[in-house]
Amino acid sequence: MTNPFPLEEVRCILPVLLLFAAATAVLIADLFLRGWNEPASGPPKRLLPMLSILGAGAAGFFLWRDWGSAPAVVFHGALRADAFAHAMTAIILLGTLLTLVTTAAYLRRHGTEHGEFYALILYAAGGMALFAAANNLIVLFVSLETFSLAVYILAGYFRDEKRAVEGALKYFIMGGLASGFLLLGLAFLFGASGTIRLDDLGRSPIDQPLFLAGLGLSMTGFGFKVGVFPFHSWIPDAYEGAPTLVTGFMSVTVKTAGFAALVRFVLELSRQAEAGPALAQVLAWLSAGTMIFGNAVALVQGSVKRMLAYSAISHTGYLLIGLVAAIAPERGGSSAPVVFYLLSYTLMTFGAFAVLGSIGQDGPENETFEAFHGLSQRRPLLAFAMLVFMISLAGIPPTAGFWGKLYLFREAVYAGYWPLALVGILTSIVSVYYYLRLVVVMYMQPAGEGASAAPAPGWGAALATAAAAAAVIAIGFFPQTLLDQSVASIQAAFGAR
Amino acid sequence: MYTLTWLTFFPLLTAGVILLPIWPKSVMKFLAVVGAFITFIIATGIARDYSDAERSPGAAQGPARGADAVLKELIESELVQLGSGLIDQVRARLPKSADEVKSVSEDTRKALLVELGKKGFHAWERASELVVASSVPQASRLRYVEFAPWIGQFKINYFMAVDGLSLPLVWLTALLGVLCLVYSWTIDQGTKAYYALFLILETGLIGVFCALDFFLFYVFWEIVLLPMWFLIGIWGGPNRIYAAIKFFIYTLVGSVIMLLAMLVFYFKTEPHTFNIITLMGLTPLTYSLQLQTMLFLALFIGFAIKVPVFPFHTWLPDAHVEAPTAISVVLAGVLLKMGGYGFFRFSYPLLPQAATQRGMIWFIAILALINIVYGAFCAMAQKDFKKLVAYSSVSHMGYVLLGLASLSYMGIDGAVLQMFTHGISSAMLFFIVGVIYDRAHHRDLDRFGGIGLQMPWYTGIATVGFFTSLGLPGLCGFISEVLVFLGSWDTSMSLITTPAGDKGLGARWIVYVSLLGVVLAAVYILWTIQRVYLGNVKDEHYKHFPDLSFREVVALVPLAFLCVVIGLLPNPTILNHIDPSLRELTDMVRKAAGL
Repeated sequence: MTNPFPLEEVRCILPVLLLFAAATAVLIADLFLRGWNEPASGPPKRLLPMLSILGAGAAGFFLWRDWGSAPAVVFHGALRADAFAHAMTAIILLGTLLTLVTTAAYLRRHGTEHGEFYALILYAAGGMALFAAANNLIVLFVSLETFSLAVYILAGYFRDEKRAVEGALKYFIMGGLASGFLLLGLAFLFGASGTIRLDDLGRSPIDQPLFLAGLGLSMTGFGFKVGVFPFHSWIPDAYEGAPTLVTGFMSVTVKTAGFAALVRFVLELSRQAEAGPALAQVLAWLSAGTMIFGNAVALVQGSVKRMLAYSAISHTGYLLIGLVAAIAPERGGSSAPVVFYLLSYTLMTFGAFAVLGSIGQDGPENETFEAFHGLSQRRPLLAFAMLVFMISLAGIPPTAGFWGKLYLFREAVYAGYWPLALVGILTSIVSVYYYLRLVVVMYMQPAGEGASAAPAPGWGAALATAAAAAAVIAIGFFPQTLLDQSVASIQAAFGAR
Repeated sequence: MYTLTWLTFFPLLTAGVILLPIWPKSVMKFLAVVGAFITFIIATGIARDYSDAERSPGAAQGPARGADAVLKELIESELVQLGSGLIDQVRARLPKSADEVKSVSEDTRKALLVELGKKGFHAWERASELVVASSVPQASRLRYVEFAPWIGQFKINYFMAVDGLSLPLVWLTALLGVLCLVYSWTIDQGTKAYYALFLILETGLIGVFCALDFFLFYVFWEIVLLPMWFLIGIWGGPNRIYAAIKFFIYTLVGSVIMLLAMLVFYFKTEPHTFNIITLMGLTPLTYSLQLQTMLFLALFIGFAIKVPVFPFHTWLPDAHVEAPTAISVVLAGVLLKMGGYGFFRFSYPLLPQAATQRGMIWFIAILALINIVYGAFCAMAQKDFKKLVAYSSVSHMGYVLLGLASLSYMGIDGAVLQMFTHGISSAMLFFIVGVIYDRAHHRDLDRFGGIGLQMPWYTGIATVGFFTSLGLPGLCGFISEVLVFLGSWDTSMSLITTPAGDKGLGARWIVYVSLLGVVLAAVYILWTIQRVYLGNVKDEHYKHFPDLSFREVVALVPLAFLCVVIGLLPNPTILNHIDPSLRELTDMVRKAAGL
């Protein structure tokens, strides 16, 4: 009889436990602070964001302590603690910390600073970290539901607003459907192979048709989660309805977690000789479709928030290139660029949403391009940060986004998928138009009727935005270390892919 | 020493300093000018050292040594590093005891073999890349070499050097940087951002001319794009947004096509590299003519948009008309040269066979002809003073293409000199337009008249600029145009005129018709002088125009001085220093193309 709960392995999930503990602590503290709610910005209320930042920071610390440790399968094969899981957890934590630092002033401005907001963010982050390390179909599904539920609630956090409720409901229904697909797919995979362990799925003898059906269904489920065309339809509405900073949080962390699991899933399952090439082919088409669709539709958006939503879809397309490169039959590519790209994506996309959240109250009127007119005169630093994020999203050097794209395209060429790289380059040119449109209105148009008030951002938002912008530029000039780290994380976890 | 790094990044450093929020406006401007001036001093120092080294190549010491010697040393240091790295790695893996030795599994042994072997192979790859680079003849002319790995993952190196091709342009950039910043003293909206952007632009420009790694070149190229876009789009005239976006889209499309060609070079070469000296040594031999032609056309589009070559030139008049004076100066003086420089540095040396096939010579020579004649006609038709100067740039850049297409010693010398002299004369002309626009607040040629009476000093200096642009003997424009024409006429060498059997075109008419450009230039320039400076004063306002201010004198006089000095003494001032490099380059291209 083996020990059902090996204590010495707890170390490996310490960051996750800390996140959950911090979330619970925030909820309990909130209970005792209820009496002091008025005035809303009083000192006790400040405790909650502090507590949650502390929790996320502590999780980060233990993650850092484990950095570079030998890969291990823990809890009877339920989780893998390897360099890839560490890297992904780090990126998720980065997104979480940025969110937590930014939100306090934002929520206060909207008069909705409640303790459960921080708790939900932390629960979501914990679930995502678990999702990134899952090596077992059941853990995979349960952790997915954990963070999904938290994010559904966050998306509808402004419950008095019609569009928030609509978006959240749409997200919930579509998300539920996706979970159903995924669950059915996972069940088929279990049926086809007789194992629920991811690392065994690729090696066990399988029942071919059932396996492929399971693969297809679960890929559909994942496709919904990360927003692959044609499973993207919930994204624009959910992104538009959610509070801007929640949108930022969703777009970076959910995508990171989704890709963490997807990379693991795809790399393990493509070991089955029959699955690999077909999967690569399908993913390549999905990737091309997503890049083309996302960028084409983003071109015609009148709202910056929706533009960023479609841009998030297009970046999913770019990220898929990394998966295709890793499992293509030629085996020349690697999925390391996915890690690097997710990091840059987190910095630049969250940064863009943070600026959007800082220029005024949430609402359609502050999300138009007109709201940004002449921002460089009113808030030069905010406008400059947005400029950096836009350039990076468009993939213009010297920024993090540029190296990320270049790395993805190079791996595609190595894997023999050069047309995919070509589509990527061409759609990037298209994307320049809508990203720089925002820069044009910020810098070259005078403030007009619809210009936003652009109140002074709180110190937290200022700090997070400045740090993200600085990081985007610094990585743009010196990407070497992070490139090495992303290669190392993939190699340590999956061998040479 | 890192002289070239200092030169390149000093403007950026200055930009960082002036962005600090502690300076009053005038101190900030002063600091910017000082920063640009120090950059200019460094550039001048490099230019002097370079010409000394060129005179006695064997004795060159320190940073003035050729790249071949520096790269050979780098190979040695690479091997030494490999050695010490391997020793460390082996030592770290050494078993501690006899028992441990026995317990080493077969898998561990194999993994160790792969790991240690990989390191050696990597070093071998890098060293062999440098071996190729150091044996390219061009390498001996490259000085102030700096070489360091930048992004190992993509094999991108920080590889900078200057030779006779790039040095004049680098020096010109540094000079115009100072003059433009002084001239921009009156910009009073967003001054700090303007000065900072200008300095960043200068860093990008110097970097473009010094970079010898294709990717580094691309990064600098893009660094130039953004500040320029802002400078036109924010400080420009009424239609500035349209002009800025047009400029941006044209250049971006060109640079992406260039990037695609660059990536093909990278992936097609084993081991993958962006080092253009290595590429020069490898690609002419290994690529099929068809691929070479495709790559040549892709690079051609990227560079032609910048030059600009007809039919990609339409962004230029718009950008010039809208841009503030100093920005027009840099745009015409240096930015256009990025395209020309690209042809000399990349297109021809990397793809000699594609560049010298008959169809391609026709193609380039005809485009040169169109640029020269069509540009001149367009200039003649303009009513807007600035547009006239802009179209004259289109015409003058045609000479660069003509000299290039001839691929003769004199033609190439003339073309590179033309880039330099046009940098001086067009800069002067744009300053001249700026001076009058600041006073009259319009640029309509028909409404001027009799300025010569009111502003004699201005008119005197302006005449020097105009006559340089026209190609009057004794001024520098004449030298370069004569060299281009003689070079492209030269029936023994010029690919345009040598008889068709000897791989040339035998098309003398191209040169004849191009000569028309000189006549047309005389027409539109003399006509302009007549309309603006001579005759009666057309407007009462003009009687109150003050003559040149100190700031304008500082901007104009050095350029006028250069026009005369280079016009009278072209050999000791510039030609002697650039000729060896260009001869080497021409020889290399001709040899690789089998001419």
